Amino acid sequence: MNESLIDVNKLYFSYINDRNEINVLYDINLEVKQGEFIAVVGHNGSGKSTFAKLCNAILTPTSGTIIVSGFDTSNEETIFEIRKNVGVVFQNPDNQIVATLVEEDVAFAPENLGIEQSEIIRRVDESLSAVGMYEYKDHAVYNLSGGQKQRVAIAGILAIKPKCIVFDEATAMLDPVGRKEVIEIMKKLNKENGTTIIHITHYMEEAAFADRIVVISNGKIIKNDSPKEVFADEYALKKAHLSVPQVTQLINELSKNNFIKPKVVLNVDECVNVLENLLGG
Amino acid sequence: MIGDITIGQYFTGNSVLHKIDPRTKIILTIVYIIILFIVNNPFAYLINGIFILSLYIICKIPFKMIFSNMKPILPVLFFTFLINLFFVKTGDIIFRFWIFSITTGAINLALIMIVRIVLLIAGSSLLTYTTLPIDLTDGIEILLSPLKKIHFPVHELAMMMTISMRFVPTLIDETTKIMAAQKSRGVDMENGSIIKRVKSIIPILIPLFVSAFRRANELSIAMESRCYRGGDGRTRYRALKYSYLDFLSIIFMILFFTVLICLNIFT
Repeated sequence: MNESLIDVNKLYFSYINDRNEINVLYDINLEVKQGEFIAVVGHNGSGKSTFAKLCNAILTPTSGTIIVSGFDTSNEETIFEIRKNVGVVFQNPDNQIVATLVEEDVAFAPENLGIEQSEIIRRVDESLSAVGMYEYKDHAVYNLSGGQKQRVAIAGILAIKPKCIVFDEATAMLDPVGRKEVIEIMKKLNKENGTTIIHITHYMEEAAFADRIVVISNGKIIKNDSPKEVFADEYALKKAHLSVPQVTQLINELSKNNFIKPKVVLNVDECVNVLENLLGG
Repeated sequence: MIGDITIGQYFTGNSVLHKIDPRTKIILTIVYIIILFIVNNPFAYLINGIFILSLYIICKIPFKMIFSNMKPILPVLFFTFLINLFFVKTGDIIFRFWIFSITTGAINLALIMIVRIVLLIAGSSLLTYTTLPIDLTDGIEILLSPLKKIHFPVHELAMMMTISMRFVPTLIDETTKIMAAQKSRGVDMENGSIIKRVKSIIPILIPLFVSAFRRANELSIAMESRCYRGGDGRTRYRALKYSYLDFLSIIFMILFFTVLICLNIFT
């Protein structure tokens, strides 16, 4: 359970645009353990999506290393081993679904891996059931809602049976209902299957239930701690153009004005408890 | 207007033709087209027409599909008829005007050409009406796979067809949105001369192309991250299987083609 799955060591990433070198990530050191649920938050252009592509060996570090399950992402020969271990769900569901029918799309990755047909059929059924889309198996992807499409995309990754799934702003284009569905699946996969989840987002409410939050600002990790510790430092988050969840902010404001003792709350229930105590229950 | 396009024009159904393996259907369709151009006996065309119509009935596809299919090629039909009528010089001359003359042979051939084209389109569209686009690409990929030996990119071709079919509705949606957006900014697409109307397509095409390239880029990254590495060593989720129906249909079609050719030779 506690062995290291992704090990990022002194990672730098930059690219050349119009002869100028643009630095995206500087000196990133991070360790992700098997079974963890990590939220990576950062403002637009902070480099958090680049990080997702680095985990999957789509991009390779300019210097430094990322070791995934013992394989170095810079090594061309083990690239598929890495991709079997780490799957990425991207932002736009429309642009990551390859086939016309739901079941065909879920089968895409196992087909690429050259898995036997009977096993592919099993994996397709399993993955679709896991995301609650089994009854849509033979539907056309085109007629599904955004949330449903994203669930199909997740099933497509599950069919690889990865140890870790990176959600690269996978909830950003969805409506509140779709977002909730995807979040529930993430929690379920993490809890029931022990899948490591790296959730890249800019919704702080979605980061609040992670085991650990990594805050990236201008290409550097500025915080790497539990949600309580991260949200306690509202000032640092503001400097990174981020905010704390609304419930956390409410309690922080109340404590600033000496109505209550300082306390970091992460969800609505905790907030309600604090408020009930304040109002004398 | 754009929403009317149905891709592949597949009709859901459960008829014999729906159940036949796409590979059988593709090959039989090709042979059918060849036979159509070999045979030139009027009686054979009559039997052929009855045969095609009964297939439409079996598959429960409305006859009006034949006519709506003919509409876009009416000009082609018309010109084929005229060219054959005026430039074929066999048989007796029945009409003469200035440098033009019409012969019996010309009328005969002109009519045959029309019937041929109508039967060609009515017959071959049955293939797309009764075959799912996915099955069709699968069938084409397998049938062409011998060409891999001469390094013809068969898998890539099939993958391109699959992806285009997947993105047609998405891009149609996008076009409608862009059209609405540009109309709301004052682009007038309905009025004015033809040149003006063609010019008004440009503000629709440019954003559409930009977005299509962006989509292609994102899709290729997503495919790569899902372990895509071309056709080598790839397995299949859905396997095409021949059944007794394929066997029966091939035998039936061989008999049918033989009858047509015999009619052609002996009458």
